[in-house]
Amino acid sequence: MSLNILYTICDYENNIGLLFFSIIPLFFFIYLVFFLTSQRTGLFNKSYVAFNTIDFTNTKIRSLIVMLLTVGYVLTQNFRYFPEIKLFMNGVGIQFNGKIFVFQLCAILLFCVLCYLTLQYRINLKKEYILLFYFFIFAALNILMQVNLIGIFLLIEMFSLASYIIVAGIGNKIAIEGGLKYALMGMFSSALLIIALIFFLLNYGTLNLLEISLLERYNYLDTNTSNYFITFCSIFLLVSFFFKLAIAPFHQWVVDVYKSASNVSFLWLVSTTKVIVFFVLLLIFESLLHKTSEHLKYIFIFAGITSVFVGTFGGLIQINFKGLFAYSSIVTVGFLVINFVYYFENPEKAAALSFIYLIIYLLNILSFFFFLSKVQQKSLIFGDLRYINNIMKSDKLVGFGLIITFFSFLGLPPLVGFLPKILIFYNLYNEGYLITCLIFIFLSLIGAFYYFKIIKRISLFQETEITFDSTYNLLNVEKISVIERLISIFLIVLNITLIIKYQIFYEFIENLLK
Amino acid sequence: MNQIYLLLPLILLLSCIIINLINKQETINFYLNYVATLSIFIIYCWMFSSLDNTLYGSQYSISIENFPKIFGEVVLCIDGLSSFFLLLTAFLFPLCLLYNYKKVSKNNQYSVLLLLVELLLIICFTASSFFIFYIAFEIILFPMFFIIGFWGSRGRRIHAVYLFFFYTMLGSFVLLFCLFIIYQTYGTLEFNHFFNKNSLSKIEQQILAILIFIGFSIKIPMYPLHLWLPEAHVEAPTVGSVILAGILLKLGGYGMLRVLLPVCNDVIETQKGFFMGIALLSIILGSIAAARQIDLKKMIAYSSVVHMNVGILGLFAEHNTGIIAFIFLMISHGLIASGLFFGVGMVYDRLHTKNLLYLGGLSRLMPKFSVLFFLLVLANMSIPGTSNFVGEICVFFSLIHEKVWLLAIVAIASSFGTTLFCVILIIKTIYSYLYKGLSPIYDLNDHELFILGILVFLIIILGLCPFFIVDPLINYGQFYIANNLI
Repeated sequence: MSLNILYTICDYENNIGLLFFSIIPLFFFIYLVFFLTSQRTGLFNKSYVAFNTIDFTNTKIRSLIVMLLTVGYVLTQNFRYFPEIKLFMNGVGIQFNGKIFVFQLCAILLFCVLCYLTLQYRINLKKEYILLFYFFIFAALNILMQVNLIGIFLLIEMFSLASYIIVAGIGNKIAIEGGLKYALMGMFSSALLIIALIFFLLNYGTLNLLEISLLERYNYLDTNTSNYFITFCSIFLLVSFFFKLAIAPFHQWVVDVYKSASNVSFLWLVSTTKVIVFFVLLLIFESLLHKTSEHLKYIFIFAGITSVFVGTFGGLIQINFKGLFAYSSIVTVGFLVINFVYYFENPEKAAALSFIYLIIYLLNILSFFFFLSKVQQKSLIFGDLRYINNIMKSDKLVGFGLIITFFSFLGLPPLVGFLPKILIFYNLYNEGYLITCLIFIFLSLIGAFYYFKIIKRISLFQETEITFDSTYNLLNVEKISVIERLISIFLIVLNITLIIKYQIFYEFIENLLK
Repeated sequence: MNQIYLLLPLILLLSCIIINLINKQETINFYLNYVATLSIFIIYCWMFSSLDNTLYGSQYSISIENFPKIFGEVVLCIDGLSSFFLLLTAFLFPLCLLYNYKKVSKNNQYSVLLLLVELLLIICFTASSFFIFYIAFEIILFPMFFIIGFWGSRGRRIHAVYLFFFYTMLGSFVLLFCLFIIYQTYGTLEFNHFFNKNSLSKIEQQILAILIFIGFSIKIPMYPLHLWLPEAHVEAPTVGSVILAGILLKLGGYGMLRVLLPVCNDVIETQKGFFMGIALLSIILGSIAAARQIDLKKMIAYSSVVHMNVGILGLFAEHNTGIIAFIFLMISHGLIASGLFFGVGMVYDRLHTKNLLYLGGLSRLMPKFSVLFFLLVLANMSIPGTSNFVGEICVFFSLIHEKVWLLAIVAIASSFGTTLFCVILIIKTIYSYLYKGLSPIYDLNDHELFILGILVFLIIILGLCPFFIVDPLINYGQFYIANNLI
């Protein structure tokens, strides 16, 4: 296979051009060919009419799913035949040794699910938006293989630019406003990232993560000054990433943007940004958090606690479920970040817990959007909670699924959202951070309030003006098909029973991240 | 044997739940559920008779493999202590199902939720580790949310659900933190291991004792954190109130017995003043509040506060009789409060009021009911011949060894306080003038008569011959002492 040859020949040190000569652009070229060939049709009128219809975009999205699945299959075969591929010459300091493929498979699965959900929301997508979705995929798959910080920066810019357009393009005029806000904030954070890279270059002389890790570990120079300067540099870096993730002092844009975005763009935003930026953080922290961890701990604690604080108290008065999920995403990001406090002592555990929490959050939020698409009404572009009233009267399965997802957001025991939380609390306690543990516990209790509000609206039949009724359902006139019933049952059962296999899952990921 | 006592009830309940979800005919579902719950009761009676009362420790245990081992293995066990509560749960649920038959809309879903609650309670009481107990403790919120929120009758039920849910979650989150501390000191969370000496300092044990107390005091309602109880009992349907008062309040006491006494043993002498003070406050305020109530169910809710706190006084009095009294009081209170709530529910079904001012003269309209209700209210008042009397007397005996002046206050407060509102209750419902505006009503049905009758029968038997339960408890208490607890 050509893979092995490339990796043995090529030298990754300071060679940014290798980005474009690595194997992943093969995917890009395959899809580009497919995309371009689709424009050539024999019947000119039909192609003009079918330019912006729903069927056309749906076929393209389905083809994207198929392509992703084939890519995933190819990767699994690689992993089977070459289990010990070493992507880097030097194993020192870099922990992702050929096991990146598993994360890539997770990302591929995520994107398949997202594409399926965009199909469920029958929006009038223009043809070129699929290419924008593709940029997300490209970035997510390649970002784990980057050795150079500039490569990381380029890929982040790529998917950010695509996301600006997606947010602004799908929906109505408010979406454009949201897209503009998001673009300004994102560009600002990218500028900060460049400044950070400049400082990194000043300090280390390279932007190669391998070399940075070596320098961090085997630095015989005077450590005092470099420590403080590195914290200074890493603050810029972390701030730019915190901007993108919407961690607490830098969270203000998220609420406006998520509220004004349409459901589809909200989906792609929430899931992909977090996944990609989280992978980036994992990459950077394994090389960086060696000596600087003592000072960066305070940043993580501050960011985590303020995120959870803001997220809980901000979400209490929301009447819009997108604003609600914006604040809940702030809370989850707080939970992700606080784990890195003990990264130096126990790196596998920190990364594994954060990753699992993220996965389970994504599972819950995607199942919520699946059920929401069954309940979709045109006015739900604004995401008003009043249209979710009393679903249990008309549609028991969807209502029950929604209840289960929200109870797992809360953290009620037999459901899947309980164990990551309890393990995060326990590990915080174990490493000695008692007060943060207590704060997190009580703020998660307060945060349960706004999920509870939704559960109350769905199931307890209060007398309200607006109840969900099939007459309001302008978009989904058909009944639920068998496949969708099975998927909903599967999601419910998964939520209830995944906790039994949780240990296996957790140990697998912990082994990966060693 | 182990499997029959421990797993068969769970399997029976799960199968009933699944069949209830699939089948839509109410009669078949009812008979199936009733037979299953009765058989579970018979199994537990058999288990109780086959227990060796001279042994201390888990007598039947089974470990479930293939479950995730977070904070320890999943082991279910039956102990001398848990057998009583298992009997109580298995006894109450057939009565609840019998009461619901042909009275409630959507009985299938209601029965599903009830059986789920029973399942979780059995897991709670057979749990051998604190983690399993904690998980079941939290999962119970899920069906109770629907029982109170959906089948309750007024708009205020939403408020009640919020209070219930968030007060118990607060308690459970505090317990989570204590769980971490205990896991770090002991290395396991098995209840048997808590009797070993631990390495916590006095100050740490004090803080831990206060936190655990807060966590469990929300369930046994104690003064500052009891606010959920009146609301939840009033807004819940009758069967929901029965379960709440009959069993869910006992989880707090059970937890205290299992967790607080063994772990924070050295520190109870210094802290018990605080705990007993709060209990005394709850008794006084609860009885005064009950006397001023207009809603029947709120009265009974406050009376349950009073009775549980009297037991708590016995728990923290460092004597064998105190612990026995607490357990006995819990069991008798389970029976009495259930009976009272069933009675009030029967009145509500006929007259659609719980308002004391609208009721009166029921002895003329419903003689059978009035006899049984009268006996229940007397039992609530702790009259000799009923089980409450036995419990309270034993609490007083334990307080003699402890502090005599406290005994005087408690005796006056509890006996006077309870008699106050019980007498008001009797006079106003049964023996007052009959309002002309009350509609003509029928006396009790056969199954309602059975429900109230068997509860009264048990209460009187336990009051006259308490040795069925007290003899095993004496042995249990002796072994508590032998394990350096008192």
